Amino acid sequence: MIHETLQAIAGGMVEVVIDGILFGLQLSLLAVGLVLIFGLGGILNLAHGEFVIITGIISVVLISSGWNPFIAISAAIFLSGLLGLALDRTVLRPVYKLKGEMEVLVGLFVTLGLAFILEGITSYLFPGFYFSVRIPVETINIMGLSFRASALVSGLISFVSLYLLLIFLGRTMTGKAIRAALQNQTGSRVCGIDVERMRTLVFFLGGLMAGLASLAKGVASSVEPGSGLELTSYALIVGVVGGVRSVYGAMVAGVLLGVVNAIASYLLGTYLTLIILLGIVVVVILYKPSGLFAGGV
Amino acid sequence: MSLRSLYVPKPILIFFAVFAILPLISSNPYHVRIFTIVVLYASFVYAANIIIGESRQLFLCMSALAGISAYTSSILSLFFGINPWLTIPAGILFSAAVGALLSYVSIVRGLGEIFVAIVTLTFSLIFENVILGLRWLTMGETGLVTPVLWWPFQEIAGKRVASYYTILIFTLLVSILYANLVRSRLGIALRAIRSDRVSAEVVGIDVTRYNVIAASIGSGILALGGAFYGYFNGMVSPGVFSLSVDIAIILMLVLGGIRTLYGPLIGSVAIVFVLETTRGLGQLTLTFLGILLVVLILTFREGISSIIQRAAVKLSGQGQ
Repeated sequence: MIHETLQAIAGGMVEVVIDGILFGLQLSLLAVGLVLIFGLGGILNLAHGEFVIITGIISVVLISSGWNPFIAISAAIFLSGLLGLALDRTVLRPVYKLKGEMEVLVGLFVTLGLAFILEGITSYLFPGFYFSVRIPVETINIMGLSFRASALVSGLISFVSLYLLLIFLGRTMTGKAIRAALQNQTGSRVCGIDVERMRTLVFFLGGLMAGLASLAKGVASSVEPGSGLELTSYALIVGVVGGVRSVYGAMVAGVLLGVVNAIASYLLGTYLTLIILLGIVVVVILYKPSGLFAGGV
Repeated sequence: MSLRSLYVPKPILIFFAVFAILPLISSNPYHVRIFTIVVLYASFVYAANIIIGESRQLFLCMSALAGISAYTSSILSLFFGINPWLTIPAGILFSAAVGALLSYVSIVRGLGEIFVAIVTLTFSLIFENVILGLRWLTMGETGLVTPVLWWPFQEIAGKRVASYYTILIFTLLVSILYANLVRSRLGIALRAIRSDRVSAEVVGIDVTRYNVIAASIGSGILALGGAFYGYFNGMVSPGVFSLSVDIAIILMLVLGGIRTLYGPLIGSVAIVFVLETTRGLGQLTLTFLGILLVVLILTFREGISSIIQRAAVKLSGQGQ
C-alpha cells in the first residue's frame, strides 16, 4: 500500500513539477524587467508590479470600447513600455544626479511613492476589476498527463517573450550595447555607447516585459488592482535569488522558484510555501548576496 | 550616566507641555484618539531616527518589530491569564533581540543599505504570513482582541485620557533618550561611522557593536510603542502592523527632518493631520501618501525642522 501511495505521489509529482516550470516562466518574465532596470538604471523599481496592473486595465478598457482584443492587448503592452520610458525621462531625472548609495536609496523611495500613487488610483477608479484572458480549451493531455491549457499557453507566452529578449540582447547591435553598458558604464562610454540612451531603452524594455507578464498572468489567472506591491515582491524575490543585476540569473531563478513553489504547496500547503520562498531569499542574501546564478549579465 | 548630566532641552518640554494641555482643551473621544496616535507615532519616528537616521540601517520592518512585541505580550497574557504589564517586557526583549539579530547579521555579512532594506522587507512579509498562518494563536486576519491593560490613573481620568498620558510620558522619555543618545559615546561613534566607516574602524570604533546597539534600542522603543498601541487599540491584526505603517513613519521622519531632535514631533503631527483630513478619500489616501513621498524625497530631504532651525539662527544673528 505504501508502495502504491508513493507511486501516486510520484505520478502526481511530474505534473506538479511541469506546472511549477510553467508558473516559474511567468515569474521569470515578471522579474526580468525589474532586473534589467536595476542593472542599468541603478533603480530598484518598486512600481514594477503596477505596470503589470496598468497593462491589464488598459487592455480591458480598450477591448470594452470595441477594439480587437489582440490589438488592444498589444497596444496596452506597448503603452506599458512607454510608461517605463516616461518614468526614466521625468521623475527619475533628478535621481540620476545623485551618487552611489544615495541614488539607489532615493530611487527606491521615489518608485515606492509611485507604486502607492498608482495603486491608489487604480484601486479607486477600478474597484472589483480584473483582467483575464479565456482560453477556449480546458485541459490538454500530453503523454497521459493532463495540464490546464491556460497554464500551458501562459508558459508559452512567457517562454517566447524571454527567448525574444535573449535574442535581442545577444544578437542585435543595440542589445550588445545594452549588455556592455550593464557590465561597465565607463568602459562603454569610452567605446562610444550612449549610456543615457541605453538606459532609456532599458526602461522601455522593462515596461514592455511587465506588460507581457501581465498578459501571461492574465491568461493563467487574473490581474487585479491592489496586488501591485505583491507582484513587485515576487519579482524582487526572483531577482534577489538570481542576482539583482543578472537577466539570465532571473530567468533561471524564476523557473527554480516556480518548481520549489509547486512542490512545496503540493506537499505542505500554500501557507508554508510562501514562508519557504521568503526563507530562501533571506538565505541567498546572507550567503551569496550577488545571487545564485550571477555569472553573466 | 548620572541624572545630573542628563540633557533635557527646553523646547522639548514646551512641546510636551502643549501636548499635555490638549485633552483639557478637547476631551472629545475622537480628538483624544488622534492626539494619542500622534504621540505614539512620534515615538516610532524617534526609533526610526535612531535606526535609519543615526546608524543608517534601512529597516523596512519597523511595524513588524512593533507587532512582534504587541502579539507576544497579548498572547502571553491571554494564555497565562497574567497582567499585561508583566508580559510587556517579554515582548520588548523579543523584538529587541530580533532587531539586534537582523542588524548583526546584515553587518557581519556586509550587506549594503539596499540589501538591508530587502532583507527587512522580506522579514516584514514573513512576519505577516506567520501571523496569518498561526490562526489558532493569532486569529489570523480578523485580529486578536487584546487583554485589558490597566492604565495609571484611569480611575480618575478615564481610560482614554489615562492611556494618552501614559503614552505621552513614554514618548517624552524616548525624546529625552534620543537627545542624550546623540551626545553620548554611542551617538558620537555612530556619527563617526556615518561620515567615514573605514576611518572609524581604523581608530578602533567597533562598527558592529554600535550598530547592533542602536538597532536594539530602536527596536525596543518600537516594541514598547507597539505593545501600547495594541492595548490602546483593543486589538492587534496584521493590517495594524502593515508595511504602510513603515511608510508613514519614514514620511514623518523625512518631512520632520532626519537626525533632528524635533523632526519626529513635527513630522508625526503633520502626517497624522494629513492622513486624518484625507481619510474620506478612501483608496486615494494611498495616492496622496505616494505623492507626498515622491515630492518630499526629491525636493525636501533636509526636513522642516532643520529649516526652522536655520531660520531661527538667522533671526537671532548667531550663525554657527
